[in-house]
Amino acid sequence: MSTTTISSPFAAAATALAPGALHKLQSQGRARLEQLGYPGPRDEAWRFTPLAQTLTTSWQVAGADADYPAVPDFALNGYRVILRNGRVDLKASKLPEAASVSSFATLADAPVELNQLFAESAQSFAALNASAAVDGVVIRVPAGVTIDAPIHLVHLMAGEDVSAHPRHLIVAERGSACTVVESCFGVGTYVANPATEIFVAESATVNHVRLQQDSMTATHLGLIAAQVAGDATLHSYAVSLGAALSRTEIDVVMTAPGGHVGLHGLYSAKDKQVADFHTSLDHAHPDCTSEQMYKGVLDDRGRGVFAGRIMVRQDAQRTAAMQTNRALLLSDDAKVNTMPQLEIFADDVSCTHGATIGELDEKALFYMQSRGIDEASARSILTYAFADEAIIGLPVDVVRRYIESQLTGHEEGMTA
Amino acid sequence: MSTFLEIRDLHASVDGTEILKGISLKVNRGETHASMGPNGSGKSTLAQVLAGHDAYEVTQGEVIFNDSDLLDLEPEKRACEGLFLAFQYPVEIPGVSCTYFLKMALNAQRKYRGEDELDAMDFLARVREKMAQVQIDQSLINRPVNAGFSGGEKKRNEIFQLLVLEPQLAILDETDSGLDIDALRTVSSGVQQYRNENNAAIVVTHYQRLLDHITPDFVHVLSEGKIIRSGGPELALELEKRGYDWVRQEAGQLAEA
Repeated sequence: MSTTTISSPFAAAATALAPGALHKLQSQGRARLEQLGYPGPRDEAWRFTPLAQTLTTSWQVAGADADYPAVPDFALNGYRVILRNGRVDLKASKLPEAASVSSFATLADAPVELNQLFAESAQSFAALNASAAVDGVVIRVPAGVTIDAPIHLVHLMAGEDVSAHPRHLIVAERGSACTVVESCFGVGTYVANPATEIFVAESATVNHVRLQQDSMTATHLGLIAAQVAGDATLHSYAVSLGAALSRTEIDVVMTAPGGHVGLHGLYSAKDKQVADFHTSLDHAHPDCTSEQMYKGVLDDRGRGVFAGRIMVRQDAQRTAAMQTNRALLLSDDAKVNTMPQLEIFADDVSCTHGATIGELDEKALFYMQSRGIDEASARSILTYAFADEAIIGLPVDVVRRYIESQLTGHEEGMTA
Repeated sequence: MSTFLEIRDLHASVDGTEILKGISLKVNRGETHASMGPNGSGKSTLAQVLAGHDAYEVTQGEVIFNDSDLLDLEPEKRACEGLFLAFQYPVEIPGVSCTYFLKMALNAQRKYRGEDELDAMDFLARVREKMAQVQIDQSLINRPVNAGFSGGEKKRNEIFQLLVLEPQLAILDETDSGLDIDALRTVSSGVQQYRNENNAAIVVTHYQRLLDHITPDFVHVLSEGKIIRSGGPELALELEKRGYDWVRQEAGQLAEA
């Protein structure tokens, strides 16, 4: 990687004062970012992701007093932590009793897990997040405990030319279970750079949702890294609806036999939006299974990028890994770049990957019209039906229905 | 007297090739017409043109339906005006359940006609009644439209939709093809339950066997894009015995054997 700008676009954020628990993270991040620099136009991993504008703006530290968007209805009932421009507002939050949920700003010491999964990352924006994080949420679910309702982390952004770099840590101890829903909303022109580390201990289950509906002039650079232990299960649902440019990287390592990982994604890009997903799944041990299903709906001049890497190491016998990316192009100018990358070093494995790019089925459109459904509705029903497969298993009904309503004005009960 | 359906000198082509070469046909409420003919005669094209498929270009002629010009209308408006096409090859729509699809269709039509939309309860009551008539079960209509249905199930689903939507004019495009005898009986009985003095049907078929169950008032023979002979139900029986060649010879389309 190379530094493409003379002065760092995020220099201001790097001067922000981190609380005690994040001091070490900040210095680690600064050193790492110094080493890596920012991606340049020739970086393979960023070939289809136009960063130039983001990297030539001088982003300021976001202030606290701004006109934020409202907290979405789906997060109003149940546990929630509200973040405004990257800082946790505990007063507006409601925390579960069965788990320990706190903010970094209120912690004296850094949890031992912090940055274990990002420290070696070659991703500049993981290092940026570490260098500039001033707050975030730590969720620790004790062994054997199941949290009875989803925990919402609601990111609200507001401002012009500002950036925020919240850092979250989710630790699900042995045999525990939780669902964490991160949602991102905002007004203005900003960079949202949230990074979440997830540790799923033996026999634990974590469902993680990252719903990105940032301002249409925002840049979203999101990171999720997870470590999945033996017989543990992680399901990730990553949905990208907003932002002019969004990139979400999901990096999962399976560290013992018997783990199961499901990565589910849905991206929608219209106007000139770019929605980019990079996933990396490391099957390091035998008898683990993974499934990935990403679906994209691209309209106008919208562009989708999907790069999915699956590594099956030599010891990882009897691995079953399935990866699918399907994209629907609704206009002639819409585009998608899809790049599966399988590296298999074990011999007894079952790995499949598939990518399809298509248009709406004209025959189905005519069939629906012939029954009295107008063309616009028929198109939206077909589009919705296509997209829904990616989030059909999302375990929080109100969130799934919210996403569905954002895709089309559909009603309940449509899908089969 | 008002015109229910009148097709006047209809010409239509696909990709510049003329398929319909001057079809004229009048259908009144209460009538069943059978449209028969050899493969490639234009029977299915006529059905598709009436339903508004945009692959076909109407180059000449007009179609009056309920006193207005049918060809001016979008396919969905034609449906809302009361025209229904049972497809020869019903289309699969993965991800959209039959019930949702049908409720959306029915309510779009009701809204167009200024009627109240049916709520879930009323809709289900209507659906249950019709399901029994075509022996279609709940598990089938909970599934995505036609996805993974057998040939017979697809055709039964078409007739089920016909019964729920209660159109004024039903065009059945080879609804009998690919059906075994039991399915044929079920489908025919569905059509019979639909028929009354206020609606009409055009039954497109190759064979007499469907007409054993649904007796037509008129039988038309299409060949090379034209109606070359019209008659009563006895014409269908004669075609079953003698084939199409003699009619084509008499129409001058085929040299005498």
